[in-house]
Amino acid sequence: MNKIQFLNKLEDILMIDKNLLQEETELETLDDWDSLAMMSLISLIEDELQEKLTINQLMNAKKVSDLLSLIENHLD
Amino acid sequence: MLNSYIKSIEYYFPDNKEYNEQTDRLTKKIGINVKNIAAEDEFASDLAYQAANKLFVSGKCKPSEIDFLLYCTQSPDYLLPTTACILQERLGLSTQCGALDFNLGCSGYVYGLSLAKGLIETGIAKNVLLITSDTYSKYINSKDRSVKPLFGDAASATLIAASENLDHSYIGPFVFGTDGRGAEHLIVQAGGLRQPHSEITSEEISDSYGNIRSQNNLFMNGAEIFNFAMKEVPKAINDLLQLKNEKLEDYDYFVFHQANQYMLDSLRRKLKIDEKKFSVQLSDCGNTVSSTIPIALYRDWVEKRIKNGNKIMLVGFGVGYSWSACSITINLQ
Repeated sequence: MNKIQFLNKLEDILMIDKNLLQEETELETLDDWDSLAMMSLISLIEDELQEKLTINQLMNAKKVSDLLSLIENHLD
Repeated sequence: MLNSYIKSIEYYFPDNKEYNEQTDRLTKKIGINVKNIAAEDEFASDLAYQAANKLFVSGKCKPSEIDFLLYCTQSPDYLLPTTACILQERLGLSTQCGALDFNLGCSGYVYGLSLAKGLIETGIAKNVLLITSDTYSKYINSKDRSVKPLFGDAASATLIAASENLDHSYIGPFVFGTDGRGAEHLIVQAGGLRQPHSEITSEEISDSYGNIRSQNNLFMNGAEIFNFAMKEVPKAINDLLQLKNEKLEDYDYFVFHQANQYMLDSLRRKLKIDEKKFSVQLSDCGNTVSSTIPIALYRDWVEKRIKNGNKIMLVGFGVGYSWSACSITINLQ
């Protein structure tokens, strides 16, 4: 999975249109960035990237770029 | 050739209702508006009695015809004796009847069907009464937002009967799964023998999300459970399909354990199952543990979403971790 594909899947989870997310987007401005979205993201990342993240790590992320840096080693 | 089939299902909700906060965006996503909660002096065996009684009152069978009672609960009346024995007496079942409790949660109904099938198709029993019942509300701390909106109390009663007129068994095959590494993620820590109730276990503590619970209360790590289900449910379904070289398209309908709407949607989308073939029956009762599958199955049949002759996949998964999937042909009377 590359960065664009990851962002598209994140947009899916957050129920927003494709290609809307920017790296600078602040997560707390997104209506559907909640504990359920975090669960979906954890599940997706473990499934596709075999990396196990925790809710705490996601709660500490402020921007989309913070999420990307958590998994950048696993992206193409 | 003795085969088994599900002959009848009934269920029972306690009277008290607890409503979820409707303006909460998160609550909307879990799809539960109201839960039915047992009264202070009302216990799982009371709900069980009511559900079974509905079955007898409907005329589907007489108490004297039951030769085996299987009672699935994680809310027993006592550590001993067996609550099923007490139910035998309350329901007026024969003293020639076999009866036992088994302790499973969300996977309990599907496991129960496998036990009933075994008893019937080996000629050990002719009419098995499978009752599921729980009062998780009694374990839940009212200040714990991670579980309070989710769980409701309920009981179901299912009659599984023998027939020599079916060309194949209407119950099975099955796949099972167990993973004890999940034990700590959905647990009531105190109250058993390993950690009895004490002043310390009753101490209420706030977690990092502001949810309050003690060791006497139900604890659930939602993220871990979600992850587990998204991983193991598709695998179990695949294993079930492979048993008879089937495809998902061969099934008319799917009834999964009704954990919450978000979980169900996520699974349905991952498996690419059509919405019209997928049971969602939880908005007015929440997660009723081992009763979710029989309640959903019965309601879908009454509402004519499914009809006799349909091939249905049942999948239970959760506390333990424990999971099971099976194929049934529905033929309710």
